[in-house]
Amino acid sequence: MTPHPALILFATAVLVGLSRGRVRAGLLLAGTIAALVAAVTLPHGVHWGYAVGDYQLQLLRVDPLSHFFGLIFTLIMAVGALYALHATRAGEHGATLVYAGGALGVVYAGDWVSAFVWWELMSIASLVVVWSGDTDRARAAGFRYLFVHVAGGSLFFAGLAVHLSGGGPLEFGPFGETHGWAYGLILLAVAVNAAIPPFHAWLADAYPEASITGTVFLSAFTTKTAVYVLIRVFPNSDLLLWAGVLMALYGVVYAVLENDIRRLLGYHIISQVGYMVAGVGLGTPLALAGAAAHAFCHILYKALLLMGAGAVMTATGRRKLTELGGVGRQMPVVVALYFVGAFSISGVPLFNGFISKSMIITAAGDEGHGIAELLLTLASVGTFLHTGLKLPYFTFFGPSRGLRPTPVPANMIAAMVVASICCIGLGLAPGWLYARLATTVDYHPYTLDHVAGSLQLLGGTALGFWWLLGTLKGEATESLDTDWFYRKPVPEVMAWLVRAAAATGRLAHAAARWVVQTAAGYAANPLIGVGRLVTGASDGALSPYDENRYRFPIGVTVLWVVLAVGLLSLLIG
Amino acid sequence: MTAGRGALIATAAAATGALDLLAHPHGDTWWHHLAGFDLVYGFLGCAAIVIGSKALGKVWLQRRERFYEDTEE
Repeated sequence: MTPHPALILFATAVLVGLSRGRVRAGLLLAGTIAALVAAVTLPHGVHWGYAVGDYQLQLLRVDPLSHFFGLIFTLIMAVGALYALHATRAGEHGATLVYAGGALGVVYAGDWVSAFVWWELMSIASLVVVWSGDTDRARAAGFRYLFVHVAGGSLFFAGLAVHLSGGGPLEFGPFGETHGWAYGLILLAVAVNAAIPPFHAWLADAYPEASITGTVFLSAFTTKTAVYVLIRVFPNSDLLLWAGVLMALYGVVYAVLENDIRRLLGYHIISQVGYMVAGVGLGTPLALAGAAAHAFCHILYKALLLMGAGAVMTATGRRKLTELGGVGRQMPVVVALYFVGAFSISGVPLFNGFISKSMIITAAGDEGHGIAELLLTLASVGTFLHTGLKLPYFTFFGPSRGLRPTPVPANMIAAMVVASICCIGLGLAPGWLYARLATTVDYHPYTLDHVAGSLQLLGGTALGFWWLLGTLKGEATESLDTDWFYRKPVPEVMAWLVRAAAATGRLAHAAARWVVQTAAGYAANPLIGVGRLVTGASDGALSPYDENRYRFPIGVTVLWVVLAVGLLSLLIG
Repeated sequence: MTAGRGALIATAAAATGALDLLAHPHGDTWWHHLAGFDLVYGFLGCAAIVIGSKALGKVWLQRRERFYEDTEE
């Protein structure tokens, strides 16, 4: 039987939970590499099909698209496991393995029901990864993450119910021309996971609060699984094109204002996923291939960037630009590896971002969407500005704060080296990636005008950075985002509701008390009511019952006794 | 960063602009045929992003740290 990569990861999770120390580390690496090998060698076709009633469930459907995403998901799981090898908590390893397994499950699912179940499993496991931060902030952010993803999951379920009850096909594939309720509800659910504004705030809220190792996995799976579903189910939509363009710029604006290095990179996940969403919206073969290729490259360089940020946090214990600075001299290897990620995301020629992002921008131009092309290029300027210039300048160079970084575990550096090799390798040999795409494309990134254009864009951005350096330094602030709606008004509305309920309770208590006290008086002495009717007097009506008031005088008893004794004496005498 | 480094960046950027004179443009729109367009677009775009975002932050988006925590508890 063909092994399902997700099940290999689940088995690894069990083994990791049962073992300790070096054995655990060995099992973690062996398990994740086994899943990667399984994903690489999976033959195309439906391997795990089951009939449940009228439904034909497909747990392992391998076609070029699922094969492509399975490859990058298992690869980043193995690289991330290497990065997290020193982490001691088995629970965190288990959660990341199940999380990756859930994402793989969605990718390999051949029917809607299986896809939904795996989707939910992924959400729950990712929540545990968020909580792995093990701080009050992480726990609070985790609950907000849960709130958003339960809402998203419910939308998915509702859409699925409408789709299947309306006689829609069970096969996990495009909706085609029918854009009814099912289409809208499921698109909304996927938009939540893809972090399309205004449904994106959970990402920048929760991801930076996870553990240093956990954030690396979070950056890879949830949003890219959503991109996979968008490519498979929702290609070619003007709505998605413009949503993607908006996303790409939205993340850039917030990155200008951000002080926390992982949150800054989080906003750039939103920005980068924007390119993929725009590619799906364009829907041409080149654009769809670009969306998939960019997801592949993005997972590698974004993980690398977050691993670099994590290395800085491990070494210094700090995470804000206003508290960092000048540590580059003490950690040159981390700086070099970070810059591989930064050059990749910025689209520097010879790095992987250049060969994938340009596919989407070129596709936009080819389709006559000049404005979208220009705006996506503008977002690219912002990407280099933040991840290539601002973050490294104020972290590694810039004014020194006298920090003394401690050595970073060797496994973290090794993982960054592997990710860097992948980023540069794909940049140098894009043909390897293009050959594995679901759609065949005839695209050549290394033309002179394209390379010249990219270098000019980077040069212009660097000039702008040099000019505006003074205004770019980090500020100790937080930025309002759409999570304001459930972080500010909702607690206040909840507090108001609690106060309203408490006031209603007090009122009901007072009313009941009055009723009971009044009724008690009447129950003790019904004559009060009668007396009031007869006399019309109200005084004394509520006075307590006094038995002496209604007692016969003792003289009457004496009279009866005297009479009885007298009668008795007459009868006897 | 010093003015010397700025001059270095400017020279390198200008050199990339000169590449356009050798390149054969691919796109259809007018800006693809304008030598040095990407250089100017990168510079102005960078300035627009920084100035625009900072302005947006100042008048609307930026709040003190612990803005949410201080009211949630």
